[in-house]
Amino acid sequence: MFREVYKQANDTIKGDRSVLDRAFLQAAQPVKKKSPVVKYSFIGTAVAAVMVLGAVLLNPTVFTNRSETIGKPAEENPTEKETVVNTFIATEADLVEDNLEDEASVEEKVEKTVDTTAEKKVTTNTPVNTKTKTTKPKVSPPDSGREQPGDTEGDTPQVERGIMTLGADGEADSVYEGTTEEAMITFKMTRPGTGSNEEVTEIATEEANEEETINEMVTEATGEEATETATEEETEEKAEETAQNFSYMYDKSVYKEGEAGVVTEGFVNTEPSPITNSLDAIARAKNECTVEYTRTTVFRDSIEDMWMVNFGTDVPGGDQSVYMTGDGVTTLIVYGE
Amino acid sequence: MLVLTDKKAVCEKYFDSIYRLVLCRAKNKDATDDIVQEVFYKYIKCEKEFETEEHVKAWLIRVAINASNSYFTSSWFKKTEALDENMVFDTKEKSDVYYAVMELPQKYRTVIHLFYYEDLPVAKIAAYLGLNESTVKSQLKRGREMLAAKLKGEYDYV
Repeated sequence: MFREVYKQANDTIKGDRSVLDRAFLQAAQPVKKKSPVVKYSFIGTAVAAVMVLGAVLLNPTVFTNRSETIGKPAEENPTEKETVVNTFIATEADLVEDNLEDEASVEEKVEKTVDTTAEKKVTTNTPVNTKTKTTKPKVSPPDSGREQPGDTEGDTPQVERGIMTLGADGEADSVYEGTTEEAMITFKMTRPGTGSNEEVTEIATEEANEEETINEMVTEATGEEATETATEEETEEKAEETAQNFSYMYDKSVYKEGEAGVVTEGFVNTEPSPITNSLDAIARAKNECTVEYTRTTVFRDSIEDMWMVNFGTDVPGGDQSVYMTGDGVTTLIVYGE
Repeated sequence: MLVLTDKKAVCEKYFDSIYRLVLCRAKNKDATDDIVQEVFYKYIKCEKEFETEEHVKAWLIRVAINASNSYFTSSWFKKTEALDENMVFDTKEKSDVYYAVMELPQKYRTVIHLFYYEDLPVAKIAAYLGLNESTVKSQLKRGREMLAAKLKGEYDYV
């Protein structure tokens, strides 16, 4: 009988009884208690909250300006910083050359739109014209991480003109009578509100005469529109040229679905709307933008027929990149680069 | 009469039975020692009140099967290779039968052991293993067929 033989075979097998002793010993040992819950685990969070609150209280203007400008496009953002600090490193000779060119070009533009009575005053007062121009940037300066060669051309002179406005007494030569330090100090004062003419006016009146101030007031009303039209045309042309190359396939391989900051669905741009130039790309990408950006940079992959618009911010890791097909359909959004 | 509250006595009584069951499944003495120790540790720490000896045995068998299943699915067990244990039997007949069972696949081995050594009915085996009775029956049938082929029909599998 199989059953009997199998039972007899099994009965000869004896286990090691020390196993039982070990089991009893193990059971006799006190159970290791879990580490007690840290009562003050919230301290880190509280410290961080206090630091943020402190920062807001110490610098309320920044907080206020930011909260007011959330959701507004870049061109309406009064806190937009269009400066490139490197400008101040430019040599005096460069400043003189650029200044002369800018002076001529600005005069031409203003003549087109401003009436003749205002024109005489405005064209003789370079600082006022240049100030109004700097307050309406259409395309922000290029990101430090992704430079756009064609874009810097339009931004650098703005800073230089800013120096002229604030440090000059009305004539170009007098700008450079002051030291570079003076120019930098003056510029920093106007920087938080580059769109604020009042601040600039106050500073200007300290060094400029009454006539200049009056002229400036006039151009606020009339010159602004003219310069805005001019800058729009300029930025349109630049936008056409400034789209840099990128590889969508490479970016797609780097930013994979499921990773932090990578969004591959739930887009706004789902209906085709062909993109013909960089401005179209920016306008289309704004539909997807959720960050408070201060600059936009356009990239183009002609092989894959893809556009990428980078909305840059001053916060490290606060950028947003929107990838779209040539038909304007969003395919990928990457945050934090 | 076994006093069920005396856990040491209960452990002593069912130790060999559980050890053989686990060894049948694990085919490795070291692994068997670990699993058996865990089974009895759980029993010692268990605060459940058992009504009958059969109840205790059923509980131990069930825990032993679960513990061995957990052991087999552990990454450590998958990365190691079980050693062939050399059991010494006093007769060739016992040796042939025992090793014939050990050569069966695990699922057949377990069913054969519970049915022929523990004398458990199919319904209980099915309950302990979490299987349908028909599954247990078919596994028993397949196991017997394999054993018959190995032992060349020398035994009656009643």
